[in-house]
Amino acid sequence: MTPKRVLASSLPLKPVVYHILAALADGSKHGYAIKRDIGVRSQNRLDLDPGTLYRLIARLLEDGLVEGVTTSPTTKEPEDGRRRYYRLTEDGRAAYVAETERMASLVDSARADGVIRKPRTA
Amino acid sequence: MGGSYPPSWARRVYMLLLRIYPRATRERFDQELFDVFRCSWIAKREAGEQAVAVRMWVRALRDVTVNGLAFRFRRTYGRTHASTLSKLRTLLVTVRQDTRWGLRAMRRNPGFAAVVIATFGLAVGVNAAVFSIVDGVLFQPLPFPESGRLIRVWSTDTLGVERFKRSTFAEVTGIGQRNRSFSGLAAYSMVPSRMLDGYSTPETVVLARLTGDLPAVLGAVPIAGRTFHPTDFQGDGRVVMLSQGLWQRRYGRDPQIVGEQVSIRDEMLTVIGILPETFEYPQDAEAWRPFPVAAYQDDDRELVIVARLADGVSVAQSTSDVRLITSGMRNEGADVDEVQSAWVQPLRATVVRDVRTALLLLLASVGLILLIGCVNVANLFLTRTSHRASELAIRTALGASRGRLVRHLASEGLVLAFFGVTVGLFVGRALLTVVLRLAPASTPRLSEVSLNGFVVAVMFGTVLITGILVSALPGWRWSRLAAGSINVGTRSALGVSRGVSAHRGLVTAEVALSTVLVAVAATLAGSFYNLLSFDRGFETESLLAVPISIADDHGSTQETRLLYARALELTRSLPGVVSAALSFRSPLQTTSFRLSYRTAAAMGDGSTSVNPYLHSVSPAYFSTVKVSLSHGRAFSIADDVDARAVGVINDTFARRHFGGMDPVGQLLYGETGDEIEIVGVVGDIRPTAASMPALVLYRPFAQLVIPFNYLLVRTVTNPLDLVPAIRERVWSLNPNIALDEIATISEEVSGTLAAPRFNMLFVSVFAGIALVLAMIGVYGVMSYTVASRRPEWGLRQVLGADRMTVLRHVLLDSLRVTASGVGIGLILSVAVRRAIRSVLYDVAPAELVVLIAVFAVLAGVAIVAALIPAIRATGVTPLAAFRD
Repeated sequence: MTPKRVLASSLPLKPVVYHILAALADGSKHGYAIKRDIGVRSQNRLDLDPGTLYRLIARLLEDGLVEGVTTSPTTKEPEDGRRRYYRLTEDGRAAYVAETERMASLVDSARADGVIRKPRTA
Repeated sequence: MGGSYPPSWARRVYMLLLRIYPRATRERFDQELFDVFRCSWIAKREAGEQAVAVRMWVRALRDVTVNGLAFRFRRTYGRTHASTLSKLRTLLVTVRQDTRWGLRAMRRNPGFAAVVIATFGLAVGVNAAVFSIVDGVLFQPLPFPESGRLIRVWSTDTLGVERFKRSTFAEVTGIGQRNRSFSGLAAYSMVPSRMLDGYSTPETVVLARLTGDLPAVLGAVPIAGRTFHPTDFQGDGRVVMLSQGLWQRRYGRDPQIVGEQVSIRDEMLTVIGILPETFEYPQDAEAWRPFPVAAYQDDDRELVIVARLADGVSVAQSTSDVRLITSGMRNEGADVDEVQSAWVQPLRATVVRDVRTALLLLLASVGLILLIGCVNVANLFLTRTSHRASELAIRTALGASRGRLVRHLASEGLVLAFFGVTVGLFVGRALLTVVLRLAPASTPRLSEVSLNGFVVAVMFGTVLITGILVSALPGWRWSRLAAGSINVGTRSALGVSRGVSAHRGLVTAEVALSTVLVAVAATLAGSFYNLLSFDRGFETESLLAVPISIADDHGSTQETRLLYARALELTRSLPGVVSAALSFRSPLQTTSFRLSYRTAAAMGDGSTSVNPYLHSVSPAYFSTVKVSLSHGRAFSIADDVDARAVGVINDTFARRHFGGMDPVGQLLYGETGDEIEIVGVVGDIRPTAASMPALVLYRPFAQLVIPFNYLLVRTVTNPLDLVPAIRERVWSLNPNIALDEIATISEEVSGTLAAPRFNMLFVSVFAGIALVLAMIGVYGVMSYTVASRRPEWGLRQVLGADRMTVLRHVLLDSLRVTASGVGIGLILSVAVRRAIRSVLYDVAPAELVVLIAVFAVLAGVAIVAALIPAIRATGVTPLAAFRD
C-alpha cells in the first residue's frame, strides 16, 4: 500500500503539482475544471496555461499518480464525450497525503518555535 | 451575445501552433489543450477583461512554444536530462559567482589587472580603429542599391593582358549596343570646367560628361529636382545635375537653383536636380551632364564604362560577353587603336584599388599587435599561475575539482578581458577620429567609416575567447601538476623547467611578430626618406600654381592669347614676384594630350611614330620652374605665332629617339604635314618617385594656345601672400576668368606624400607599440627565470663568479631568447616586404642596412628589458639563496 518508490522520488512535490493533486482529491475532473479549481485555491495567484497544465498532467500520468478516465465524473458537470477526466490513483492520493503531512509537520514545528503565534482554523 | 468567441478560426490557428509539440503528445492532448484554451477565453471575456483576444494569443504563443519544446526535449534526451533547463539555471548562478570571484581577484591584484587591461585596451583600440576603416572602405558594400551588381569595364593592352585602361568611343558604343550582360550601362569622362553664374565668383568644377544615365545605373535618387530623361541624351543635352556639396557651397542649398541656367564650359545648361552626398561617383565630380556621343568620335581612351549586371549574370560571364563583342568588332574591321579586348571588374574593387594594399598592411599591423598583446597576456597569466601553484595544490587537496579551479582562473581572465575590450573600444573610437583626420584626402569612402556593431562584435569575441584561453590553459596545466604532487608548492624542478620553456616559446613568438612590424616600419620609413630626398627635376619651393581658365572650348584664340599675355604681364609686375609663366600643366602633372610625330630617321626607315605628351608653355617657363636646360636654347618672345614652329624636348625623348645624335636642329614631322624644329633639350621632370619619366614635347604658348592653363609664379616671399593681389589684377582684366584652388607646388608635393606619410606614420606607431609590448614580454620572462633560479645565482657566487659574470649571464640569456625570435621575424619580414612592394618607392625588398638596424633595435630592447632582472640576480647573496 505504501508506494515508497514513488514517494521517495516525488517528495517534496512542486507547489503546482501539489495543487493539481489537491484539485483531484475530491473527485475526477477534466482539464479546465482542474485549472479553475487551482485558480480558486490559490486565490487566482496561479493561472495555469493549457500547455503547462498538460505537461504536468503528462508527467503525473507517467509517474502513476494520476489516471485518465473517459466516463462519468462525480461532479455536477454535464457529461461531455469529448472531455477526458482525470482522477488520483492510490499512489497519487498517498503522495498528496504525505506531502500535506510533511507541510503540516513543518507548520507544527514552526509553531512550536513560536514563528507562528496562533493556530488558524481552516 | 453577438458573434462567437473565440472566433471560429481560432481552433485551426491553435492547432497550427500545436505543431511545435511532438506528434504523439499532440495527438494525445490537442483537443484537451484547445478545450482549456477556449474555456479560459470565454471565462475572461465574461469577466469583462479588456483586449482578451490579444492577451490570449500572446499567452498561447509563449505557452505552446515553451511547453512544446519541453516535450520535444524530453523525448530526445529522456527524463534524466529533462532537468537540463534547471541545470542551465544553476550554471547561470555559478557564472555569476565566478564573475564575482574574478572581480575580487582583480581587486586583490590591481597591478596585474592594470597591465592586462592596458594591454588588451591598447591592442583592441588600434584594432577597432583600423578594422573600422578597413571594413568601411574595403568590405562594406558601396552606398548604392544592390551595389554588388555594379561593375566597371576595362580595356586590355594590345596583347590582351587585363590592364586598367579606359575605353574608346567605339568600344562604349559597341559594348553598349551589343551586350547581353548588363541591365544598364553608362560611360563618362571627366573634365575640369569653368563654371559661371550670377551667384558667386567663377570657379572650376569637375564635370562628368555622361553617354548614358549614370545616376540611374547606380540607382541614385536626386534630393531635389529630377533625374535625367532618356530624351536628355538625344540632341545636345543642355541639362546638368549638381552635387550636394556644390549646391551647399555655391548656392547655400537654395532649392530655387533647380530650373536655373548656369554656364559650364561656356555652355548654358539648365540645372535639373541635385544628387545626394552618397552619390560620390566618380570621386571628385561635382556636376553631371549628358554629352552628345558625337563629340567623342576619336580614338582617345578617355571613357570609363560603368554598368549594372543583369539578373543572373556573373562577372565572369560578362567578361566573356564583352570579350566576344570586342573581338567581333575587330573582325568587322575596327582599328586596333579603337577597339581592344575588354574585361570586367566589380565596381567596389575598382573604387578601392589604390588603397587596398595600404589598408591591408595597416590591418595586418594591428592584427600583429593584437597577437602580441594576447601572447603577452598569456605570458603574464602563466607567470601568475605558477606563482600560485601552492594555492592551487592546496585547494586541490581540499577537494576542489579541477574543472572548478580552471573555471575560477578562466573567470578571472574573462573579467579582465571584458574590461580590456571595453576600454579598448573607447580608445578605438577616439583613435578613429584621429586616424580619419590624418588619412589622405584621396582615400575613397572615408565618409562611410564608423565604429560599427560588426567591429565591436569581432573585438569582443576575439578578446573574450583569448582571455578565457590564456587564463584557463596554465591553470589546467598547473592543476594537473598539483593533483600529482602537493610538493609543487615548493617549486619542483619539473614545474620550473616547464614554466620556463613555455614562457620562452611565447616570448620568441612575440619577438618574431614585433620584428616583422619593426622591419616593415623601417622599410616604409626608408621608402619615405627616398621620397623626401627624391629629385623631381625642378625647384618645388616658393612656386605658386594658379589654375586659370579664360575661355573654354569656344574661346577665340586671338582674344584668348591676348588676355593670357596681359594676365601674365600683370602678375609678373607684382612686387615679390621673381618670374611668372603660363603652362598647360602644373609641373607635377606629366600627362597631357598626345600627338604623333616622326623623326627624320623614322621617316627614312619607315619605323613607327613617337607620341610625346604636349605641354604648351610661355617663354619664361623653364627659368620659372627651374628645370635645367641641358642643350640648345629655351623659348623666347620671338617664337610667336608667325615664326617657325619650334619645340623643346626632354632628356628621355632625346635619349630614346635621337640616341647619340644632337637633337637640336632636327625636325619632327606631324601627321598633318606640320614640321617642328627642335631648339633645345631640358631635364626630365618626375612628379613622384614611382613615375617613369615620360616623353615630353614643349611648345611655345604663342604657337599652341590652350584655353585651360596654369599661371606659375615664383616668389621671394611666401607664395600664398600674393594670392589676393593676383586675383585682383587678373579679375581687373575680366571678372569671368576662373581662378581657383590656388596652391603652392610644395603643398601639392606634400599632397602626393600624404598617403606614404600616413602609412609610414601609422605603421611606425604600431611598431612602437609592438616594441613596448615585446619589451614587457621579455622583461616578464627574464624576471621569472631569474626568480626561479635564485639558488643558482647564490651557488655561482659561492663557486667564484663575480657580479659582472652573473650580470653577463642573465643579459646573454635574454639575448638568446630574443635572437631566435628576431631571426624568425627577419625571415618572415623579407616575405612581408615582398607583399607590400606596391606601397614602397625605390626600396629593394631586402635591404641589409634595414635588417641590421632592426636586429640592433631588438637586441637593445632585449638588454634593456633584462637589465632589472639581471641586477636583481647579482643582488642575491649566497646565504639568502640557500635559505630559500
